[in-house]
Amino acid sequence: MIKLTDVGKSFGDHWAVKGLNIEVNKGEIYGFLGPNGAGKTTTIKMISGLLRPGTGRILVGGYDIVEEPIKAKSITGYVPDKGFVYEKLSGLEFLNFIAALYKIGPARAAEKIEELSSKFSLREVLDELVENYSAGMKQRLVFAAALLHDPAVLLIDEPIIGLDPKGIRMLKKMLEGFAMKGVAIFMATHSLLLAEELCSHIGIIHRGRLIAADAKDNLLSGGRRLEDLFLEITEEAPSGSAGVE
Amino acid sequence: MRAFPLLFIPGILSFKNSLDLRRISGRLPFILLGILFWIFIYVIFSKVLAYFKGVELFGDILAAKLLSMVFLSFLSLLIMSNIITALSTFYLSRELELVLTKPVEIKKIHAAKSLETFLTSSWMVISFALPMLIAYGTVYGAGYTYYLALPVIFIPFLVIPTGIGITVTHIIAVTLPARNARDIIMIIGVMFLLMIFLFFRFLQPEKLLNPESFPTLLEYLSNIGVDSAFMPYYWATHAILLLLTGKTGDSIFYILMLISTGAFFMLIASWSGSRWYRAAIDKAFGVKKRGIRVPLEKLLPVTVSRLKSALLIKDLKIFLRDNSQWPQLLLLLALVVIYVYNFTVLPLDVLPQSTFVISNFIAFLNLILAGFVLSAIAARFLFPAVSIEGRALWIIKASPVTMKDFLYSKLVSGLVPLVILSEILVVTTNLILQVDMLMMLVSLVTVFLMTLAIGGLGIGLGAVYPKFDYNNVASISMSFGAMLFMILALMLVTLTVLFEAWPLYLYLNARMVSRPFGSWEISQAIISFSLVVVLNAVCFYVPLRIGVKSMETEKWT
Repeated sequence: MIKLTDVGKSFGDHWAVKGLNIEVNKGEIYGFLGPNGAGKTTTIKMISGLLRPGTGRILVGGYDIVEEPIKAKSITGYVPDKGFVYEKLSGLEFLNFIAALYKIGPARAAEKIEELSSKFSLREVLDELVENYSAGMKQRLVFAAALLHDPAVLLIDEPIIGLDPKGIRMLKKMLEGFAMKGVAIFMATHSLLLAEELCSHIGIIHRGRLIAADAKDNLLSGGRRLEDLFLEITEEAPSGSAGVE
Repeated sequence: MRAFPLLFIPGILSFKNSLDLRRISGRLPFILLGILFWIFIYVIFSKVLAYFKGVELFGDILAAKLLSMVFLSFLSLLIMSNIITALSTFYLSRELELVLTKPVEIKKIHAAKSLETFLTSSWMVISFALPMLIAYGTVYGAGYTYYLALPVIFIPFLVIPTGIGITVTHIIAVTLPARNARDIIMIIGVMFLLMIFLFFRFLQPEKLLNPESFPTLLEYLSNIGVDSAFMPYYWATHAILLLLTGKTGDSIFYILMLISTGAFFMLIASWSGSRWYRAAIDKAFGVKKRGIRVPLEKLLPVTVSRLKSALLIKDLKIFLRDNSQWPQLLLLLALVVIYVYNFTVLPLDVLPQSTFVISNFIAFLNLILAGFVLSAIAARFLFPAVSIEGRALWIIKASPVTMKDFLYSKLVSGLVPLVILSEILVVTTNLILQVDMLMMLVSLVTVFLMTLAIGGLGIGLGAVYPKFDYNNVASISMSFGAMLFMILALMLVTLTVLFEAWPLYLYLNARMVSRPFGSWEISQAIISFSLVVVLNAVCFYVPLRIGVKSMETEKWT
């Protein structure tokens, strides 16, 4: 569902990411890990179509994100790390707006909003302006918006920022449920615990280069902890020219 | 370091960091513009005062009245500007949450905020008053004591409205329902400013240029009760006038009145702060806003697609709920009222030439004025349309919406009210001028074309030069891109009118000698109007096209 082939991105003469080859299939949860400034956000922005790859090719659901961006975006749900939303709209107005962007009919939109607002515990605040929401509530709203159109691909940048323990547990269950239904999930995170618990595949990026990528079970064979592996390989990895998000 | 000066460190450091050579050179045009503005005010006041001086009997009285009126308007402006600024600095500033968590006494925060309010709301008046007061000094040949005494007069004069503004703000914040306090103050403030603005316009200051109206004007001025011995502007005016005439000793009384009143109001402000500030902050922080609820969805025709109507409705709702837009709307309203009012007081009947020719000629010139007004409005409302997406732009960029659809929704939501406004302006003024049918038709078509072109230019350039990281919406209209838009829009208006000037000249000539419009003249008119259509079409389409391309790039993610 997501395929990156030799993807690179430079800003000026500085390579933020280089030579990325990643594949995420249906039903997989891909944990994309890396230290600060490794290139995680740049990569996820390229897959979502916010940035264009400098080199290589990105396919989302078989659509080239540069050649057919509208088709690729219409099957993708994106949750950014800083999900700024329109503060002067109510939660309900915001979700209806998103539904219209994805061409979801009013009846179906109402049904989905009902379902998701209930799942994300947003029902009681849906009529309030977003500017009155707490950070956690905004994050739930952004999640709900990303799931309105039943995406086949879900891109999440730092999923648990701002969420309370209850919200985190609910999110984990939901992501597992989506994966079971065949949604391909690409998740950039700093939380090694979350990745270890949730992901079927792990990729570790360091200074813009993918330094480890495999099924989680293969990477952590022999009872290794993800934290140990992560620290070990990010400390060992040679410094390259790439590296700033 | 003591807490009070410490609270200013972030502001001072931010200012220092903004002083690098590249930024300063980027702002050079604005600095030059500021210097030119100063020179302009100085020259205008020097000319007017020199002219007054030459008028026997009334000259000095007029100069005194002018000073009194200016100080009265300063005082009114300062009170309102202090209330609005105090509301922002005391209750809405971003750093408040941080400062309140630090071990700083509330009275020190209050003192720092008071100084910030004073500086923020007074600098504009200072920059306007300085060249004016220097002009008074030079025209009346004042001695050095006049210039030395100016700060002693002016600073207490500025402090008085600051004290009043802070006190009023605390009272409003603690008494009004916190949910609406900000909106209510904004509206009251802007309405008050507009009233002052309209009041001075309706005084018809142009009469000052007509010597025949002096006796009645003086009578009028003395009757409207501008002077009141209990008001600070009266003390400031008299202190200055006495200093100008060398009566330094006599001016001391008024200076002392200003200083003692300033100190009194600052004490009141400080007392009200210690009494109410903390409680009012708690109230303001617990605010939950509801926003205006209008079922806009039902107002749009069903033919508009769901996507386009969603984009339109989102923009309209945000616009209606963003109270920083309201002052701009009210100012626009005042501008329109004054614009139309100016036409009703035109002395058409006293001009020797044929009223028909003059009326039609003025109606034609009105196209330039209307074009300028439209450009200014577009700079305020259409140019910022893309920028106001702000940091939520990712929503549009990550969704399956083409940038063409996005920009065209912005264009439609801005263009519809602009077209209605422009047509109403032109029809109303043309009816006042009693122009003939042809002129009416030409005006309507021309202004329609110009509005489309200005709209396309505004949205297009707004997409090429967006400012997503803004603190307030008004700052978008002051950016480089907005300046470029204004220059291009004014050039477009001027060229459009120039293209139409020749056929109008031929038409008016033919009408004056009562002969029909010949076929050669008609061909020239067709060529001219074709040029107008092409020019406006290009200005509509090309910037939009460039804007779409620019938005499709990844610069803005």
